Amino acid sequence: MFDRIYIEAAIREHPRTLALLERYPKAERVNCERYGEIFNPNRQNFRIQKQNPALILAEKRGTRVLPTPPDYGLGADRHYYFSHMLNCLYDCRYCFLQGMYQSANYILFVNFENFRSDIRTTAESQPNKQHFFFSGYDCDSLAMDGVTGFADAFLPLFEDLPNAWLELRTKSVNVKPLLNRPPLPNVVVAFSLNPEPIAKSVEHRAPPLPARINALKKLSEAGWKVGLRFDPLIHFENCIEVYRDFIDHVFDSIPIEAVHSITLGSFRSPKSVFKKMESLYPEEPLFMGNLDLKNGIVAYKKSIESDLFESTRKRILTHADEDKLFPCK
Amino acid sequence: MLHFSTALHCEAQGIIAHYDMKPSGGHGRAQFFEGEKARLAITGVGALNSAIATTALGSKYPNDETIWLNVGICGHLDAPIGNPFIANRISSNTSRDTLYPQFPWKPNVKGIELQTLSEPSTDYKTNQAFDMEGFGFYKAALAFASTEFIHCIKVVSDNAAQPASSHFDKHAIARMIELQIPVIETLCESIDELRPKEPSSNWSGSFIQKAKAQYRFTETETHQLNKRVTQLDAILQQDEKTKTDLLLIESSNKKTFLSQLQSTISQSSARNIC
Repeated sequence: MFDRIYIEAAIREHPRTLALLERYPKAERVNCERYGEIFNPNRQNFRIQKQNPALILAEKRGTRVLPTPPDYGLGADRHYYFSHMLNCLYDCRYCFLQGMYQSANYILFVNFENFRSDIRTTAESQPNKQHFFFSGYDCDSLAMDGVTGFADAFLPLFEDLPNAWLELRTKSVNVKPLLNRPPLPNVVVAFSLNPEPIAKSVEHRAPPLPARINALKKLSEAGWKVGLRFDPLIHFENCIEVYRDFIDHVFDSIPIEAVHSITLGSFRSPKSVFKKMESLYPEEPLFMGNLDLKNGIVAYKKSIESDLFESTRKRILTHADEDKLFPCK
Repeated sequence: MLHFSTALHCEAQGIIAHYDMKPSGGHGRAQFFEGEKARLAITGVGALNSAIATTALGSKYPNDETIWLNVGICGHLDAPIGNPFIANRISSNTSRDTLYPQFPWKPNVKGIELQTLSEPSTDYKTNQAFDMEGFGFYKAALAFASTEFIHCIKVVSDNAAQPASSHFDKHAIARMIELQIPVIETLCESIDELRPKEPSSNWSGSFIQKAKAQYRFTETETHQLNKRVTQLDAILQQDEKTKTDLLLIESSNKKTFLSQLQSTISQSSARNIC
């Protein structure tokens, strides 16, 4: 799976590092002092590296659990995110990661124990509050679970923290690690979904929509709470009708009782991130038309955005109660 | 286009012959050679000489699609003489920086940590090769290409069993490098395959020329024109491009023309997303 693994000095003897190196004996090993030496320099081409990324094993230092921006909540008292990985197995053309990082190599922070301890400290510091932890901001939570063992390493922590919630945000259909254990009432397995034509043409290397819906079904049948993430909505010809049918299809496939939350957001991107994505993929129609720059954010023109957003929102509300819907604007 | 850099003439001669290069001037003591597919700089020994000549070559022949290769000899503790390596980590005894060439493909040559020294050394270390140019070359070439397109290929000329001496056999070195040319060619093919394929239409160039003949564009407008026409070239079918040609006739002024190009993009991109 990896032709090359970079190993940061501080975690060279970490048990997770040793286990991964044993698992990929043929990968070329390259030592480094800090992952930033490889990951951060300019003069790298994300698009080209994405063809065959290397794995960088590193230690996450400093702040590991961060508050989310104010509008990104799911109704708890406090919302945080943490990133055990940077970059993703999939290659969704709208993804901000390609515009944010210089390198497409995967970084895996192997010091899970420090993440767990920080999450516990955060949740226990205010035991009367509900704390929500998002794990899929800088990576897909489950796509590389076979490599990282993330689910098995973090789920037991949440069994033990009744005032803490975990969101696993994913497009992966590798849900065995979840189906192999009893569901946890404070864990939400949230799937990013888009209609099949978008999944096919824009969400490169991600599992097809029917497979994702099937995974959602299995999880809900097994008693897991699931999340539906309709974000980003993409504008294209006849998109309003396509999204309407797609929303109906999703809700017809999954029992509403299993749905913990639904989020909805249109395609948007900070200007600098957008500029980089556009320069990496100048032939990509997604970045070409019907977009405006407002307050440093590139997004669809107001009328296009509100037509698509409102029609989709209304359609969702024909299937779900409003208290489950969390629009991101 | 390939841009080679070697320290010595004996390292270069097989490459010059293979790519049918002819002398094409120089910079200071550095000599340049040029052929249809490749150029080469003989830089002289040392990281600074290599950096200066690499910069001069890149400045003389600016080209975004160049592959940069430093080819030369190195010392290694125990690898057999004549063994090739590709540097996967490059450090220097005169800098705190470390460089990591990126390989988004599986190389046909074994990777190695390369340390560039300011003096020859026989203090060989495990899993490390020594040279005297790689670091200077790499730093300089980064001004012209991204890290996926810059590589150092080193062939072992001395090891602990046969340490370097002040007199080396130029013929033997020339032969060692020559034997690696098939490896270098395969490597270059792998690197070239990574490059995204540009659409091969001539439409955009000729449309931009016609537009410029009709209107006087400011710098900003020229930038807008180039970007919009390039985008249209990527998303329009041939018959749609022919229709777009009509915009030049139908538009009353350049502002209308540019805004009609943008409208065409908006309509067509929405159709082409999926």
